[in-house]
Parts: sequence; C-alpha cells; structure tokens
Amino acid sequence: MKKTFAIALLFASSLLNAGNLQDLVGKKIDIVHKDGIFSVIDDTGEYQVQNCFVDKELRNRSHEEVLGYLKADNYLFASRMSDGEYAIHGHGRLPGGGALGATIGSYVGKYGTYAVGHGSIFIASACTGWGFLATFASLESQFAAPIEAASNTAAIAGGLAGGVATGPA
Amino acid sequence: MFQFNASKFKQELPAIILLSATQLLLSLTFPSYKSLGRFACYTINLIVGFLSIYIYILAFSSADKFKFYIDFDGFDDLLNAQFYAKRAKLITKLTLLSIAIVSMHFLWRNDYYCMPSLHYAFLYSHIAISFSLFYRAAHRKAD
Repeated sequence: MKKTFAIALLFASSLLNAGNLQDLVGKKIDIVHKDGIFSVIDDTGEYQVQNCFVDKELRNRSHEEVLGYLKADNYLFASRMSDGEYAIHGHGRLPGGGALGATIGSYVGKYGTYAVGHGSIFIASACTGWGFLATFASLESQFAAPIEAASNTAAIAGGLAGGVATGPA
Repeated sequence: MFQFNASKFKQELPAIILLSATQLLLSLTFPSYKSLGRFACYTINLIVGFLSIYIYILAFSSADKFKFYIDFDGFDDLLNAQFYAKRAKLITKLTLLSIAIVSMHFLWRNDYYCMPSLHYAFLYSHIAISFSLFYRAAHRKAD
C-alpha cells in the first residue's frame, strides 16, 4: 500500500490521440504508479504502460519522486496510441493569464490590421467619385492577400505581446 | 486575383449589366469635372465609366475568390476560434461599416465633389447596391 497510489485523472480529452478520441472522450480513467511502473485502469481493465511510453521525466522514478513531481504543480495525462497502448505524459501547470492574454492579443492584432488595411482602401477609394468601385475592387484584388499576410504577422506579434504581458513573470 | 471565369460571368451578367448601365449613366452626369469644360468632362467620365465596367466584369467573374476575404475567414486560424472567431468577424465587419459610413458622411458634409445632395444619394446607393450584389456573387456557386 505504501508504494501504491492512484491518481485520479482530470481528463483532458483534447490531448488524446485523435485516432482513439471517440473511445476515450468522457471516460474517467485512473493512472496507477506501483513499484516504479505506471498502469492505466479504464472500463475494460488495467493496462501496464511500457517504460518507453512514459514521459522521460517520469521514467524509473520512485513513489516519492512522482509525488514530488505532482506537488511541484505538474500533472499527468494519458493518451492512447493506434495499437491500443497507453502512454503517460507529464505537463507543467502554468499560472493563468498568459493563454488568455495571448488569445486576446492575437485577435486584436488581426482585427487592427484588417481595420487599418481595408479601411484605408475604402477611404482612398471614396475620394475617386464614380471610380469608387473600380478603385476599391482593384486595390482589394492587389492588397487583400498582403493584408491577410500582415494580419497573420500582427496576430502572432499580438499573441506574443499579450502572452508575455499577462503571463507568469 | 482577378481571373476571368466564363461560367461565373454568365451567372453574374445581370448584375454586371445593371451596375455598368448605372455607372455609365451617372458618371456622365458627374458634376465634379464640369469646370474642366464639357469635352474634358465627358472624356474623363467615359474613361472612368468604361474602366469601371472592365473591372466589374473581372471582379464579378472571379467573385468566389474573394469569399475568404469578405467573410474574414482568417479569424478561423486563431487561438480558440470556435469561441471567438464569429464575434471577431462581426466586430470587424461593423468597424469597417462604421469607417465607410463616417467617411461617406464626411465627404457629403464637406461637399467634397461640389455636387447636389441628390447626386451623393445616387452615388452611395450605387455603392451599397454594388456591395450587396458582389457579396451575393461571392457566396453563389458557379453553375
């Protein structure tokens, strides 16, 4: 009992192997660590995880070391491969804020580029009287793709800025 | 991006004819160049009119290529697009609509083209109809 413990898994279905997603989504499984070996218990039984499919940081670790890993704000999750084998992964839990900031930053960057790019084309075209539509269509055909490319760059830059500004110090 | 597509051209021919007719009719009466003299005014307006018709033909016959840009589908590639992309697209469309309205209002208030308000109404109606026709053309599948 001393060397055996079970870790209730908060299941992140999006991290699962896509090929077996439908088999595992919504199912609760347990990850068990016993005598340095990981096992996964699901509805159909207990499956021992081969050492090569265990995250490098968790391989051949003692009970105390795995507990220490979890206490350091890390978590485990399992994925299932196409041949039915389970794999164990470890991930660090980052302080919140960074992901949301990155998301907002990327949207703001893309939105800003669209507004400035297409807005400028509209204003420039509006100054050409009855040539408005021809000017607008010509400019859009020339600059729509570059604006799209610029907006992607701005989204990445905005995402980085937002993530860094709101993420962990 | 313009690429002539015969089947799309055939499909959008009524819209092209409508816009070309109003373009020619109204550009010949466009008062901005009247100070240049009658001949220059007609020449410039005819050139603008025929160039516009040429662009209409090209634009409408390749309208489906603009669908990605009209719908701002670039937002679909961003983080958590399933939650935010739809709203971001709506906000972008509303922003660009606001820019359009403000700039057109500014031109009218300052009488940028030195012409009666009725002519502005014609111009803006022509623009609005063209945009809606092009939006429809971009979303229609070619026969």
